[in-house]
Amino acid sequence: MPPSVHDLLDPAHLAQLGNYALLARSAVEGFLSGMHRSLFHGFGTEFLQYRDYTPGADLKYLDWKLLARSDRLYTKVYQEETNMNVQLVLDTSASLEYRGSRAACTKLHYACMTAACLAYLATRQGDNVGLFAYGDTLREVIPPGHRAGQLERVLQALTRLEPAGAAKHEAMLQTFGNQLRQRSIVVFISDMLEGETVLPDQLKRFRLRHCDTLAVQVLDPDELDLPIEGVARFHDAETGREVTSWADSTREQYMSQMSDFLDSLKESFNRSQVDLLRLGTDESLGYALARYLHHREGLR
Amino acid sequence: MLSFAQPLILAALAGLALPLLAHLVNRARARPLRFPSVRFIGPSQLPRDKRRSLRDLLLLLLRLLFIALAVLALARPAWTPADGSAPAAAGQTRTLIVLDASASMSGWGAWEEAQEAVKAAAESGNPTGLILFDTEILATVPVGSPARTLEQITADIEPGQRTGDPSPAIAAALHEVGPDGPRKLILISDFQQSTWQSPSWPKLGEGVEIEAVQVGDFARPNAAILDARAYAAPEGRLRVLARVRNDATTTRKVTIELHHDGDTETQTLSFAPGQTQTVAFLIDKPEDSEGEVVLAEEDAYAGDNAFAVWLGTPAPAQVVALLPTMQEQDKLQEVAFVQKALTAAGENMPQDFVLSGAAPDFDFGAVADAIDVLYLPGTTAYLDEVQLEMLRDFVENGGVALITPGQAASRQFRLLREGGLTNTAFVGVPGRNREQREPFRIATLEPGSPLAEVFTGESARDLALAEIYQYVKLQPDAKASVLLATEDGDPLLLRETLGRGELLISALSLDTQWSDLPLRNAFLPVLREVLSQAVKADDTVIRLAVDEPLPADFPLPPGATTPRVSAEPGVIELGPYMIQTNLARSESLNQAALVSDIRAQLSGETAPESPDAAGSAATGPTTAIALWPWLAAGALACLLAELLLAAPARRASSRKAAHA
Repeated sequence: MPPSVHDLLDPAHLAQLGNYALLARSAVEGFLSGMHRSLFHGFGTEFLQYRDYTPGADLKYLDWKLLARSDRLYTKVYQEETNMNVQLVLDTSASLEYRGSRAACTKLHYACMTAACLAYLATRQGDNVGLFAYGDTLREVIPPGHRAGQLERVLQALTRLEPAGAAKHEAMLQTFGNQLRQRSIVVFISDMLEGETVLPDQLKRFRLRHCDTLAVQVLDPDELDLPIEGVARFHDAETGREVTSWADSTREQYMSQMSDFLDSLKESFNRSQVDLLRLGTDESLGYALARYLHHREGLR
Repeated sequence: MLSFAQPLILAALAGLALPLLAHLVNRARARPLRFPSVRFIGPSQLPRDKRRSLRDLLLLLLRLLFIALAVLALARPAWTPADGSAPAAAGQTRTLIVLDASASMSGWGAWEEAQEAVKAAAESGNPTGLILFDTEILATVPVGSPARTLEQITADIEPGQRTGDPSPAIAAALHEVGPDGPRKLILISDFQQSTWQSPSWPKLGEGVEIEAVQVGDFARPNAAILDARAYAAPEGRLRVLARVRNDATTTRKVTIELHHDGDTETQTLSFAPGQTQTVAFLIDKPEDSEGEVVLAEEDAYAGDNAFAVWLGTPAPAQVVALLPTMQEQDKLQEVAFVQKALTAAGENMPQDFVLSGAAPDFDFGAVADAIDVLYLPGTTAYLDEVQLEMLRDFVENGGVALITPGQAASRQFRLLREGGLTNTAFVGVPGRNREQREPFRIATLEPGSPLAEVFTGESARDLALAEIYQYVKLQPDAKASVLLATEDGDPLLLRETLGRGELLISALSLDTQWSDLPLRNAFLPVLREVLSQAVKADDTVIRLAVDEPLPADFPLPPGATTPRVSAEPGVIELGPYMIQTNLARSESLNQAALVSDIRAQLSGETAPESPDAAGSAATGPTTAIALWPWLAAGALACLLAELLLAAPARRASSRKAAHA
């Protein structure tokens, strides 16, 4: 039995594919084949000017209506529509290393799979894809381009990423903003822990520069309900801080605070007019792809 | 009483400390967990779960029990039920020392070691008794006698001059230690092969432990006089021949003396290790018929350093040949060869035979008592029924008949069969023409066959080179033993027993027409050895070991009891007979039996392959109850309970590991 769309977008299934190119192709093609056609709009060409007909020119560009009216031969000159830049901004801090018992992969791996699918989809639609990955320092930068092998370069860069260090969102997004030259779709992928004060403001800046911005928050299910049994000495992956706690006794408080945090984060992004997409590492990648296409629609 | 087969394994009980330590160390401790962010996780107190503590304690108990039971099971414990008898109740073993006092124990330092061994056993604290034996039981000291009594007896008594037989002593010992409780036999002996080769020893019952203490050192150098005999020499003199063996592992010079009539003749010879030599003394005919051959030097065993010898002249064996007719020149030639061979005498070879001829119709029945060997060179064919009857009577009464084939070989063997003398049948003549075929050869003698000891080295080669041109093919009687055979396996010389006498049947005429054997050096020893083995020793002298009774067929007046004449070595005269008594030479054997074999035979088992196995087979009562199966089952039950009880905890632990 061939795999269903759901299977193709299931992270448990995709995580088994070591190759990001194969992974993205499988997911995106499967995803698109399952969508209603109206959701997908192709790109046309834009009329620029008339030009006198010269023998040898392609007759298909001849303006027959003008010939009928004026009895003169003109050919239409079109200009190809300028493609969008899709900038994938990826947080690779140490907190993305976590993988809970219910997750198919680490948060970083899930983030990379999401980025790979988006990159493939964008390339397939003729957009220029770029990558900007950082943790405590800059990890990978691939400017958007349309050269051959661009997608391959992005996917290779994703393969090289390792979770490390504490995320320096402010400085890194500042750096990213400095090299942003034209209108783009900025897809920011991170777990956004402890970033509720910085990230909405930073991403809002891109929005003000007419960039359509999508924030994707990747969380492990364990971070939502803290199902840890017994006493554990929790070691913060980024700060190194340690807390010894019996999860059974602190779970309710934790879930409450976490919920507050997520709510405030969503509210902050709303204020910043930045779409926030929250994904769990056990969820289908379809949400990410659908939300991306929705943003593309918003551009037209 | 609880005992352990592997007590050293009990040291593994120290392993009980491991789960205890693990229990103490492995309390509910926080496990480290790397988490994305701890900003919303508050610190909390460690839980105090009483139910879990109880489970942990139960687990600890089960683990401790498992280790203890497993270790105890591996130590192979056995429970010996308490016995009702007094010595067992007191934890003592009824012990009986079986002490060998045969003649050999006086040599090789054995008796001194045996006295020490008795002393050590008597002072072991167990109630101990003693049985002293040689051919029979010499003394019995009951179990529980004071140790001093045992030591005093072994100090007072010395090994005698008799051979040893441990069977009656062991049977008496088993009776003495009783049927119940812990019992032990301590065998103290040199375990000389000749003493300890009985096939019918009493078997030890269950619960009887046996300990073998070997004393004496057979490696000590010793020389032995094996035999001495006197023969008539020319000019009325006497030749005394003594066979002496050197049991040392080195070459040594041995001085041999012959004492007779107050005089001493001395000879010194050099002996290689293990060599046996015949020493000859030529003396004038002595007045006293008793002499003694003595070794001058002391050695490990004094019992074989002297040999009493009768200085008389045994009569040579009388051989009567029933001569063929003058027409049978070949057979006459054979008689001449046989006469030369039998009557020859040399420096070291006394004249053993006197051959006289008689006509075939000679009434040998009338003088049968005076004839030792009746020689029939092809003349069996001439015997009538009466003579055949006489011949059978002669052989059945101890005579020897030497039969060779003549021209009428077929008739000869038919008459012998019809006369009830033999079932050996004439089959044919394989070869007659000496010019046209390869001669037949005598096959190599089988090791252990009667002639193999005589024909070794060059002499065997000479025998093998003998060329046989013609012989009669015989189908031997089932009871016949083949002394010589051809390479094809056809018998050449047969010996058959009939009554008390023997038939020597040759398939070969002993003349030069049938073979060249009569011309060879091997002919004389073949003939003399075969006849010597068949002819009974001269009946003038009777040779006995010390304390050996007279032969059953010794002629005594009607109603007289057999006198014991052999209490001491020496020569005595009993009517027309001379009785020569010496210590049994079997006591000179310097080889010990395998103690493990003796133990196994006494225990009623087959001989163990290794000394260790022999030791374990011989020790330990078998009434103990093995406890290890119960302990092993207990350990298994504990293990299963532990697995069941710990399963939830293990599942939780694996989940935690997955989280980490």
